[in-house]
Amino acid sequence: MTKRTILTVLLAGCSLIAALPALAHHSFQAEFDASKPVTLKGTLSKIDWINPHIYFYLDVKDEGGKVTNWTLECIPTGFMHRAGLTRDDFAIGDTVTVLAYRAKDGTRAFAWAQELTFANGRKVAFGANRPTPSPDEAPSK
Amino acid sequence: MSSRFSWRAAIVACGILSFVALGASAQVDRATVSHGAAAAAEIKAAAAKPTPRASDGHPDLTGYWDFPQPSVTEHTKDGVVYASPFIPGGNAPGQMQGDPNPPPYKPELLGKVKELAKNQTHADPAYHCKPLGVPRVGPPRQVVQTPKLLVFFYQVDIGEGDQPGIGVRLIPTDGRPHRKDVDPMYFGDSVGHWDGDTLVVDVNHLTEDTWLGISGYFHSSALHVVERYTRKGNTLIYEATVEDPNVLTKPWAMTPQTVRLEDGMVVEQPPCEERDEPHLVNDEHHTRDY
Repeated sequence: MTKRTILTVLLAGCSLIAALPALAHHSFQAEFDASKPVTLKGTLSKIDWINPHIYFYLDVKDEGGKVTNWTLECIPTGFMHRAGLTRDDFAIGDTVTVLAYRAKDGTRAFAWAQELTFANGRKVAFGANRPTPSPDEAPSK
Repeated sequence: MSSRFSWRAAIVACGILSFVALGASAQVDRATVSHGAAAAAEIKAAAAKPTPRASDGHPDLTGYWDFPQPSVTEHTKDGVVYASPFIPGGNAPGQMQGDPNPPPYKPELLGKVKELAKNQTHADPAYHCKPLGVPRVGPPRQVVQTPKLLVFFYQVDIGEGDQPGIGVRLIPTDGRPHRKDVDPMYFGDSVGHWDGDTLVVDVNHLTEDTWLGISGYFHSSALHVVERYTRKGNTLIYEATVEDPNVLTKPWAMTPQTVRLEDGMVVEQPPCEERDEPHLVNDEHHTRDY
C-alpha cells in the first residue's frame, strides 16, 4: 500500500466523521423511544412534505372501529430524493403499514416512522441505523 | 473489516492526521457520510480529469457540484428502499469526541461556546430553520460563471439549516467594492476576484444569526469571511478563513471541503418548519460533540 493510498483511506475516514452533522436535526434518542415500537396499519390522511422532517398522518382503526389519527415524524425531503422518492410516491388514501417508535414525552399517537410498507408490498426504510422492530415484538397499537 | 471497526480506525486516523501530519489547521476533506472510501476514490479520480477553462482563461466553475453519494439504485437492497444516508452493509454512523479543528475562541468565551453546544437544540439558529449562512453552508450546489459575475445556487435539504426554495448568491468579479446599502444577512455581501486559478470571495455584512459550526460556534457582527474556490479537474475545493476579532484570537481556517462535478440541477425545496422542540426530553442533539 503506497503512502498515497494510505492517505486516501485516512481522508475517507475523516470525511465520514466530518459530514456527520448533516445526519440529524436532533438525536433520535432525544425524542423517540427505541424500546417502544408500534405497528400501525391504516390509511394516509395527510402528508406535510416539509423539512427538517416530513410528517405522515395515518388513520388507524382499532378493533372497536374507533379511528385514531397518528402523527408520524420522518426524514428530511433530501433523504427521500437521494433514494429516488418524491412526494408523489405517497398518496392520500394509501393503505400502509408503518413500524414506528413512540415519542418519549408521552404525546399520544405520535411516533417516528421507521419503515413503511405499501399495500403492494413495496417497503421503504427510513434510516438503517436504528434497529427495525420485529412485528412479533411490537404491541398491536 | 466490519463497519464498526472501520469507523474507529477512521477516528484514530483523523486524530493522527490532525496532530501529526497537518497540525491545527487540519486539511481534511468533508466528502460524504455514506460513501466512505469510495468517496475518496471518486474525488481522486475526478480531480485527475482536465480542468476546463472559460473563454477568459479562468477555470470554469460552472456546473452542479455535490459530495459523492450512493446512486439511487444503491439505495434499494433486497427489495427495500433505504431512504437514509446509511444503507445496510455500508458505513454506519458513529460518535466522535472532540473537534480536530475548532475555532480559536478567546479563553473567556470558551464557557459560552460549551454552554451553547450543550443547548444546541434550543440555541442553534439552523436548528430552527434559519439558513446555515456563510461559511457554514459550505460549497454551492450549482454555479453559473460569466466573465464578470458568478451565480451560486444552494440546495440544503439535509435536516440542518434547510434552505427553503433555492438559495442564491451573486458574486461580482468586475472589481467593484462591497455594497454599503445592504442589511446584515445569511449570505452577506460578496465580491470576488481571481488569484491565479483560484476564485477568492470576500464576504461581509453577515448576520449574527448564524453559527460557524454545530457546537456552539457563535460569532459577532464583525464576522468577515474570505472564501477560496479552486477547481481541480472535476472537483471543486472550498476553503474559508474566518475573522472575528470580537470572539476569536486569530483567523480560523475551516476544514476544507471537496465536491465533485455531477449531472444535475438544483430543485426548489419545501418550507422548513421546526416542530420537534416541544417533544425533546433531553439535550442530545447530534451524533458527535461538535
